[in-house]
Amino acid sequence: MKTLLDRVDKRYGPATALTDVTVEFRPGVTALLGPNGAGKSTLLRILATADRADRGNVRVLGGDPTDADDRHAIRARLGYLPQDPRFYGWFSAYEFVDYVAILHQIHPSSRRRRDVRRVLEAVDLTGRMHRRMNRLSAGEQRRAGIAQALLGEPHLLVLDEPTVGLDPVERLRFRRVVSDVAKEHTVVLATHLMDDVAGFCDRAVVLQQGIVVFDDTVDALAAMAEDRVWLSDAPDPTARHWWRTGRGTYRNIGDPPPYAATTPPTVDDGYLELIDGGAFLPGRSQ
Amino acid sequence: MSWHIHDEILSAYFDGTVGDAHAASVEAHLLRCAQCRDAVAARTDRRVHADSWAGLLERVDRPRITLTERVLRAVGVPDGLARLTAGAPTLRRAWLVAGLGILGLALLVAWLGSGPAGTVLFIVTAAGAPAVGVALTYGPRVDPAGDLAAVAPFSAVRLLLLRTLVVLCSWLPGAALLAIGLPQHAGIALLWFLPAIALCAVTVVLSGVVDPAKAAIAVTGAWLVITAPAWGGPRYGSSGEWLEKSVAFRGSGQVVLAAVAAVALVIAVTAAHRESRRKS
Repeated sequence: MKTLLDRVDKRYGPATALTDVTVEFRPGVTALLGPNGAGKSTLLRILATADRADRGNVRVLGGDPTDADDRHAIRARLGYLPQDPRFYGWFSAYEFVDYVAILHQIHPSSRRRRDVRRVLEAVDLTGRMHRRMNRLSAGEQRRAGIAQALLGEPHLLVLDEPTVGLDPVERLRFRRVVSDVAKEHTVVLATHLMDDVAGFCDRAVVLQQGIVVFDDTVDALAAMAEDRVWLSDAPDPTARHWWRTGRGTYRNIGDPPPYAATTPPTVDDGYLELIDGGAFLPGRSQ
Repeated sequence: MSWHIHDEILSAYFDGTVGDAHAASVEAHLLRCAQCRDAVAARTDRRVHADSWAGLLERVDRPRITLTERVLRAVGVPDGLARLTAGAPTLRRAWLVAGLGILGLALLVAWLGSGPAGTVLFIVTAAGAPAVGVALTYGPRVDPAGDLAAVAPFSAVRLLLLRTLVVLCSWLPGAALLAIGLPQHAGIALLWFLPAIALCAVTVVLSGVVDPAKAAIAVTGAWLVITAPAWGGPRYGSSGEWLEKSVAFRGSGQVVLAAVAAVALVIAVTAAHRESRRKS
């Protein structure tokens, strides 16, 4: 059941969202990274059958999203959290997830309600599930959004910035839940939080200006900054990026001076080096 | 604990044959005595316990039911469909208030000496407003959960049809009541009825191809063009004569609109049926 985009283009009026994107998604957790406006949400919307590619070949769970029968089959096995999900504010969290469960045609109602309770338990929202959505905190609304995406045990989970607003404990819970799904199924999530990427993602795909500039393991992303990170007691003027760490030292990225002792890079370092360090050359990772 | 529940009382408690006073005494004792709680647990059928718990959760978790849902369930719509259909009450309410407000204004104009103009405004608005209402009940732009509905396996046409039905059911009685107040005979006052149904049905069909908002704009735009002759020409004569200038309000036009409504409904119902039969 392949999920892939092959030479996909997508435009919105004069703006180019994706250019010649080729990427295949396999079981496990794939992080989709890139600056704002890089095309991450567009790619996820195409995967979620919410949008169509202008050009190229798209396969989702082995089906063709432009074919009505295939699209229906894909949607029955898809969990999707949009970047900015909106809710009926007068619904409680339970009613909201129940509403999406009806849209997912989970029958009969007793099974549907069991599944609703299951996913609300998974995101630890049962204690507040009868509160109205507009009275929940942003983090709790996000958890309700994640819960609805888990309905019906999806084979493909498409999550657009799912951990925004979650506290560390909830993020940990989220990682556990998603990792469980990813044992057998495919999870694709867009995020700006490198902790999440390093914490539980198997693979990273980086988009810049609608082009795939990196597609490899998370360790390989960190390695993009290999021998290019060093610590110092003061900001190093030769560094391309630097910041003060919690320990009072300065972390520098760039061409290290001869006297500097380099330190092992993190995913953050690798990403910065890739995006702002000139490591990206169009076509390099294609 | 110096005493424990006798076996025969416990058996009677399980059988439900123990009296109320004894039952209360047993339950009070169970709260304090771990040994008797173990004895009760050993006799409990786990399946019965699980069923009871599931039944309790089912009752506690059951969502609140709105008036619209109650009405839909009363006429045989399954609970899930009723919930989806009534999913956009705020939007519908806002549209309903605005639409009926315009009709009330037209009614006022008709009574305040500009009779024909008010009547034409009333009839044109009463026919076109439901199509706008349909667009306001579905689609990512107006439905808060539209993004999620758009990627769900549930048939979009079926959902739109159900919500259209609710729009018409809430609009038609209100508009008909106001129409009674028009200073015209009923034959003229109800000329909006068939166009309203036809415009809604065409909006639903077009929504299968384009965004419902665009479909509604196209349909109401076409409606305004078709009815434009009723506004033009010399400003005299009765409202019946004004309306006669547009083909939509002549007998032949009404027959055509009825046919358009029927064909569009058949197309929409067939599409909804076909989508609903798809297996995952």
